[in-house]
Parts: sequence; C-alpha cells; structure tokens
Amino acid sequence: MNIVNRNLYITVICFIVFFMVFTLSLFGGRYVLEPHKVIYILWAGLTGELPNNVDYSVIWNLRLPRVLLNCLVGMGLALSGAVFQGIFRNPLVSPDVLGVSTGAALGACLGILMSYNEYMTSIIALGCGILSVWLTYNLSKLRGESTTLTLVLAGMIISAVGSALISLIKYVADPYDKLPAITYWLMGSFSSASYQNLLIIGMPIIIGCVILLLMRWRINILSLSEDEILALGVNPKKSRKVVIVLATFITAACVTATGVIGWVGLVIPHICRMIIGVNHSKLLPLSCLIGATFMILVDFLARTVSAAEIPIGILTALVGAPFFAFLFKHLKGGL
Amino acid sequence: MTIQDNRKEFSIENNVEIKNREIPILEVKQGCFSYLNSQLVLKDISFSLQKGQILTILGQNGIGKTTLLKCITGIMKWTSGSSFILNKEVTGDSEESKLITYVPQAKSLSFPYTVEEVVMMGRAKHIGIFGTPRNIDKAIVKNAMEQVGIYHLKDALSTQLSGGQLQLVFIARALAGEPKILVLDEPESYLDFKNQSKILKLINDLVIKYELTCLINTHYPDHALRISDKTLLLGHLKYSFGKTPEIITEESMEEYFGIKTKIISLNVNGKDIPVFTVI
Repeated sequence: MNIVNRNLYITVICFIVFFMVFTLSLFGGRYVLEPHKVIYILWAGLTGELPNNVDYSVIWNLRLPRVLLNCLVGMGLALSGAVFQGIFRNPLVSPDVLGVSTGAALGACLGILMSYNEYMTSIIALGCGILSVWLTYNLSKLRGESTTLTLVLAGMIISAVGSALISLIKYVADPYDKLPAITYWLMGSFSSASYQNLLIIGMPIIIGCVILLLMRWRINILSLSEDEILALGVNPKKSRKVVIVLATFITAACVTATGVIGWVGLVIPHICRMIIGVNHSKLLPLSCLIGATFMILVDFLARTVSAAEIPIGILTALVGAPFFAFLFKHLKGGL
Repeated sequence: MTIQDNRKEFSIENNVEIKNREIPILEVKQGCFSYLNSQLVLKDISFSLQKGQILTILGQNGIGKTTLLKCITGIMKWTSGSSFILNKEVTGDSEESKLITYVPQAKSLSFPYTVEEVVMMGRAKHIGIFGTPRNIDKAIVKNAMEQVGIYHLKDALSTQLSGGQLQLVFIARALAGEPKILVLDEPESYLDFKNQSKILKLINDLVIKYELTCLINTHYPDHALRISDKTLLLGHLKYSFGKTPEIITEESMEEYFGIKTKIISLNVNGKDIPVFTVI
C-alpha cells in the first residue's frame, strides 16, 4: 500500500509543478509585461474580450503557442527516448538511435539550402527522418533477420552518412545567409512556434504518444530478450514494429518543429526511472509529464536569461548533462 | 506417504482416465531440426506424454537439449515434423501454444523490475496489446508468488536476487500464465544442493496441485531418477525414450556419456531409493 501512496504523491507533485511552470513561463519574456497585466490578459482571453492588441498578441499568439510546443516536444522526446531505451534494452540509447534526428536535420538543411518555405522544409525534414529509419531498417536486414544489435549498428551507419551530408551542405551553403540559418536551426529553437505549426507538428506527436501510452504495459514485455518474449507465449514482431514506427514519427516531428534538441530523450527517462522505477506502465506517463516540464523550464531560460535568445540545444545539454551527473552520483538503482 | 508417492498414485489414476480417451497431452512426431545450411541437430524424435507425467531430458553439453525444448514449445520451428498438444499442432501463434510455458535458464533481466512486475509478465499472453493488468491478473500473480514461496520478495528488485530466488521468480512467472505443460531448462543448475532439492520438490508439488505435465532438462541422472516418470536420453542423432528406470541404466550412461557409473538401490525407512554414482 505504501508504494501505491508514494506513486500517488509523486504524480500529484509532478502535476502541480507542471502547472506552476506552465503558468509562470507565460509571465516571462523579452517583451516586458507586468504580472498583473499578464493575469488580466489571460483572463480577458478566456472570457473572450480583446484588450490592447500588442500585449494580447504577445501572450496569446507568441508565448502560449510556444509553451504548448515546449510541452509537445518535451513530452514526445522523453516518451520516445524511454520507449527506445526499453525495447533496445539499453539505457544509453536516445531517440535518434535509428538515425531519425540526423535524417530530419539533413532534410531541414536541404530545405534551407534550396530556400524552400517553412512548410515545404518541414515536410522534407519529416520525410527524410522517416526515410533514414526505413534505410536503417533495411540495412539491418542485410545479414538475415533484423535484431536489436543490427538495428543499432545500422542506425550508427545511417547517422554517420547523414552527418557527413549535413557537413557537405554547410560547406557549400552561402556563408552570409544560408550557413547561419542552417547552424542556428541545428542548434534548436522554439521561436517559430505558432498555432498553425502546432497543428502540423502536434498531430503526429499526440497520436503517437497516445498509442504508445496505451501500449505502456506491453513495452515491459518488449524489454525482455527475444527468447524470453517467445517463452512467454507472445510474438513480439508486430508490436515491436508498431512501437518503433510510432516513436520514430514522434521524434521526426519533434526535430522538424524545433531542430536537434539533445539530452532530453536520454536524461528524462533516467530521472523518471530513478523516481518511480522501471515499470513502463508508470515510467511512460511520468516521462511525458517531466519531459514537458523540463522543456518549458529550459525554453523559459533560453528566452529570458540573456538579451539574445540562447539556442535550446545548447541549454538542454548544459542543464541536462550536469544534472544527470549529479543524479548518477547521488541516487542508486534505476540505471 | 511422501508427496512423490502421492503423485505416482495420481498419475496412475490419470492414466486410467486418459486411456479411455487416448489423447496424449503432448506428442512429438518425427521432429527434426537443423540450423540454416548445416547438419542435423535433432533427428526423427517422436514421443508422447500423458497428463501429469514428468519427463526429464538428459544429454551431454551442446547435444541439443535446449534446442529440443524450444522446438517442442514452438519457440523455434522444427525443420520437419511437429509437436501436438491434445492432438492439435503447436505453431507460434496457435491457441495451443498458450497451454505450454517455457522457463528459460535463470539469467538476469536487462532492467531492474520488481519481482511482482516480473511475475506479472507471465500474464502477457492473456493481456492484449493495449491492455494493462486487471485485478484478476493481480490475484493470479499473487497466488503464483505464494505457491512458489516468494510473496515476501514481491517488491524486491529482480536484479538483486540470488540465482535460486531468481529461478523461483521465473517458475512463478510461468505459473502465472496458467499453463497445462511446464517446460523447464535446467532449473537446478547454478544452485547448491539444498536449493536443488527445494526446486525439485516444488516442481513435484506443482505438478500434483495443478495437474501439470512437466518437461525438464537436467544434468543430474539422480534428479531424473528421483522425480521423473519418463526420460529421454539425447545423443548425437539418436535418442532413447521410455520409463525412467528402464532408460537410466549403467549401460545407457556409458553409451550416451562415455563414463562408467553404478546405480544401486538404497533402502531408507523401508523404501527403495535408486542412487547414482560415477565410478
């Protein structure tokens, strides 16, 4: 009974922290708004009034969609990271293990190089992300049956090729115009957040997350070795494929929306395992919640700490890595 | 009366009952197996078991004992031939394969799940892809842990257990799947002789209590003599199958293992116990 209570406390606390962070992050930004004004605007928006246009627009059309995108991407990266670590039985795996991040990044760089508009770039990025996973999968089958080991190895190969092609694009890109755009995009940013953007990116992330969350107990089974799964009388092939496809879609959508944001998919699942244990029934929902909270917090820092916005990829690594080292030293179990 | 006598009586009763129907719970017909493009490992293996019987499989290292168990359970596919449960063929996805549960050799899991979580995984074939354990599953898992005597460990991490405890967890996990046929791969290896004895007694008790049929890979002829009705001696492309005392003899041990042995009968409290020793 103690454990049930403990889990309940953890869930409630995490929800409270999430809502606090969510709300507070609407108050900060480079456009200065007094707290009472923010509250007034939020209230006005909810009741349908239209006050001062600029202030209203900053809260409702800039900060709110941005925070919502933070939630989606944080949730998506943390969840797909936890799922990939589970089914590859390797706690050091991150969501880009199958080459999806590199693929999506390559697509986006291509889009920028060719001066396509934002939507076309998104579609190319998403397409390249999925294409690279397809290549990885087929490459892993070259020596017969595709196993987790051959999948990870194939993922490394595809990622290496992708990184080389990105370097090539950077090398040929116009150094005054395209190269900075590509470099900034690769470092990750939420600045392009809009409701339209949310809709395009949100669909695959939300659908993927909901299905993966429904499959949360089954992922426990998929985390066993192949022989053991079969010994339990379950055929893992179909469900494993479904899980990999969904987690890949989520990751590709996240990278497409914001660029490459490292560490979240690796660190958040670990933190959650330390808090609540390895059972994916509890781990996956908690990863979503803490992933979203973490992402809002880091993006809040990115847009408030200095006069110029700091690329989010730099901050997630700077905040995530030392935090991970701290946890690694002070908490036992869960690794 | 010891538990073993109980079981013997039980299986005789059962044999009478089954003779009327004449359907063996498990039957293997002409099972052959070879790995891709290589020589046969198992050749023309046929045998059948009645409900309530225990079969032990003995053979040298690397001779194909684990392969045989995996083929019988449908984890690996026979190259030719098939296994049948109650006259229905076992294939990977058939309903019949739910009746048979395989307990692999105890090795540590990749994630530190608690004992209860591990045992719950035995329910996987009864819980759908989108399902999570319901109250009935929790009750079955609790019962399985109690039967095996590990309920007090339910919140312990499976990665911190001893080899013997982990073996018990795996047996409980198999029981949670509510099988009719329990297949164990060297359940007593890596255990000291007290725990070996404990595991054997537990298997014996479970066979009686749940009317199970049991297949066990073992390296110990004395264990086979102690608990099994039938024995299958596996050699290179040959085997012999039959009642345990008729199969495990000084001659057959020399034939299959190339060592000289002595089997004597020891009278303890008026009961004859076969004792096996290498000379």
